[in-house]
Amino acid sequence: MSTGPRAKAFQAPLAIGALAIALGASGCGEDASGNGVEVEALGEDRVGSVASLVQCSDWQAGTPEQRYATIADIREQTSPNGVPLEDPPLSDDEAYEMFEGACGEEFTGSFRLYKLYFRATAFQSLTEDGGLTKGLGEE
Amino acid sequence: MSKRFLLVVAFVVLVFPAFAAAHLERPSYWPDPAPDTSIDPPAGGEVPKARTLGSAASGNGPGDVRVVCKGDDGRRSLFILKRSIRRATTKGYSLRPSQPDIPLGEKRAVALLRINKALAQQCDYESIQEAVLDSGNQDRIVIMPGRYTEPDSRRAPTNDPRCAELTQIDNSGAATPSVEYHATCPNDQNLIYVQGRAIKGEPPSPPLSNRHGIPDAGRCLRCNLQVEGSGVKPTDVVLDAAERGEDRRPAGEPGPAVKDVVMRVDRADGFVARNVTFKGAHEHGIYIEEVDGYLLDKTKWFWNADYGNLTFTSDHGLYKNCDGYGSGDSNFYPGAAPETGEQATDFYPDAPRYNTTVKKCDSRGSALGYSGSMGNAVRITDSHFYGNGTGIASDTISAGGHPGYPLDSMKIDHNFIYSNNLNLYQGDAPVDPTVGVPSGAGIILAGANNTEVNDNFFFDNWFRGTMLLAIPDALVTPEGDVDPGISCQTAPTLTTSCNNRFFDNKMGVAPAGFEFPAGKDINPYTSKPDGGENSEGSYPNGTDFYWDEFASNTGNCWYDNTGIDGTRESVIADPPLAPSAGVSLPKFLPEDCGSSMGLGDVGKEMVLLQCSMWSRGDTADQHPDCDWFTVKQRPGSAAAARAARRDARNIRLAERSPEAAELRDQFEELSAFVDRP
Repeated sequence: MSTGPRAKAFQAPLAIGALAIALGASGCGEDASGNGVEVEALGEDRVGSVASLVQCSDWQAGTPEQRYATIADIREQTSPNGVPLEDPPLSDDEAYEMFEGACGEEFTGSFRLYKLYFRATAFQSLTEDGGLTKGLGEE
Repeated sequence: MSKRFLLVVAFVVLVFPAFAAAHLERPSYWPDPAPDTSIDPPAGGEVPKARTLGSAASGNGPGDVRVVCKGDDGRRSLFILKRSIRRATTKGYSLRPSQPDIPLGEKRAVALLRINKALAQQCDYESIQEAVLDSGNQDRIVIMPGRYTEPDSRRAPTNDPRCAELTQIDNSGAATPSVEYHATCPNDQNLIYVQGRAIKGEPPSPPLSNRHGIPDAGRCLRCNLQVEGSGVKPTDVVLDAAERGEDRRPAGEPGPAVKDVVMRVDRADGFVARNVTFKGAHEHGIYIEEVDGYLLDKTKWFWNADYGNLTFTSDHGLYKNCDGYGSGDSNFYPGAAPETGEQATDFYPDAPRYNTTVKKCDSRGSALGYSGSMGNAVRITDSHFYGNGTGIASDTISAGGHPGYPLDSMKIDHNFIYSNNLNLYQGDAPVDPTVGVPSGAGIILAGANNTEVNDNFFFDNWFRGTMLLAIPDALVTPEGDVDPGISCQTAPTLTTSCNNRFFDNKMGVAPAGFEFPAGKDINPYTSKPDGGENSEGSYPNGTDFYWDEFASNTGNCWYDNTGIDGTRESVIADPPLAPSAGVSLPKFLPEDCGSSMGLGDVGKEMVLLQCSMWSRGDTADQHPDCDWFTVKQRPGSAAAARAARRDARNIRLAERSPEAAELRDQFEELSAFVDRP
């Protein structure tokens, strides 16, 4: 009845040096695939996705590759209608930085990452030209 | 990374942190609201009526009765019952901590014991799940006193390979567990699973944009099913999805969760749960999805990591006499409720009507007392919300999965909303929050239309009594079709946050004779930590009414409310009250609904933006004080005055920033558009 479960693992950078790049705020990490090493996303898996349960404490305990894999998983589960995954509202690095910030506080350990991501993607449209006023007068 | 992006993320993560951030679920549809007459009595079409416990023992139909118990011939259950009866007859028992204990009379005690002895004779089950699987339409399951851990369910594998292919595609293109998944592997995620209907065909892929009617719902299998405890009170029967904690009492904090959901009810129209406690789930206590007609009476939900009680795309629902505690998100969550309000179509011929009612409930000690993204046409009445981070938050911002954009037609009336100051932002917070919420708020409405908030008492909420915030359309991608009838037509890009009315509320005062629950139920952050009778009369909120004054929002009004001395003038509002009553003037709290329109307040939006800076940057400039995520001080104290001065200073600084200038330009543009003929 379905297309089957999604792959649990995601491709991630192979070289250790990529960690530093991945941690950078810009320029890299848009696409964590391509070097052949499968990295499992953080948190508990439910039917091929960690999105429903992964939380900030998982994020903090993860490697950069695992974090990027987690972003990919959450993105796949939360992408708004019709928004292609290759053009996500938040790039890998933007999502990474958002989680780094939000999960940096001691009290956020139990925060669900998908709840943070929901909000972030919702507000992403404001980054486009026009922001709040986009669409005015386009009746 | 651009400043613009930082500004946006700031909005995202912190300006709107209180809003229920939804949950991940299969594409959901609203059930046909008409009764299903294929069974007799019909299922759905109305809130079901509970059948009496006595009729279960007597065998009076309709349906078969299955009894679940503890011990040989129910002896363990009867032991627990007798102990509970002894206590209740001497000291009474508690259904809701905000209410006086209820005495159990001798006559009722004798009858209850007699009924349970008869039930014990009928007891054939140790497992609730097994009893559910053996049940059909009109049947009932009576659970005798005890703690039910459902060992067979716990042993069932998670991510069972047998069901790996039984997923369906949601709107994002991701695979999610289908109804067939749960029906085939009922205890993969759930301690107890109730499949209400057969599955007819394949779920549509991609999901239908019209969410009225469940496309793959088959015939009734377990409609009009009633599940009830036979104890004196709900905590006599505990359905427990966790390991035991150090505190072994029903309300005690559990050990690690074993299953994600205590009881999941799919498409079981006419479902009744009564006199039981749902505890310790990794996600949700009781989860009701795509159900027409349900009643939750005398139920408690304790220590569920996300939602105590989650109902989704379900109609004709009633929660009453309930009590929630210890949820990491909220105790109640009627999400994606049917469009039976101002956006009703002919799918609901009896609209407008409330589709879900919360009545005579306590909601306490959780990150949120209530939340509900797209919680359309929900009524919350005659209930107590206290000791939470935020009492009630409802919104329209959630991302995919929630049909019913935008949130509309809620009614919140005749409630007591107080002492919601739970500090979640300390190392040893009593609850592990799964979502960030501000501490100290009574109600937050974000992106709501046509809400009525009336005849409530709001007091001792140290941040704000009520907050109304806007959600511009640019921030939301609706799930499924958007029905016509949206009252907020200010501008094509602003279809939310209009026509909300706050009236006849009493702010900053507790009624005479009001009894505060004891501190253990309400947390230390209250003006009455030891509980007891109202002795002071007034218990101010930090601010009674707060409005963000978002540019071009119309029809929002606050009228006939009173403050701590019983007058209009003693209401504390931001923006402030106008010099005279009954009018709507720029930069004052609107009291005339017809002429109310926001002009935008850059300072407010910028302070909220600053709240995000705690999550980025190390320097003081990058990490200014934020009034949402700090321990609030009791209004009137020197500490509260210091905090107010600090917040005012932050506003002034924020208003001078480049981001403020950018926002100011956009507000002016919005206002200019609205002014056009």
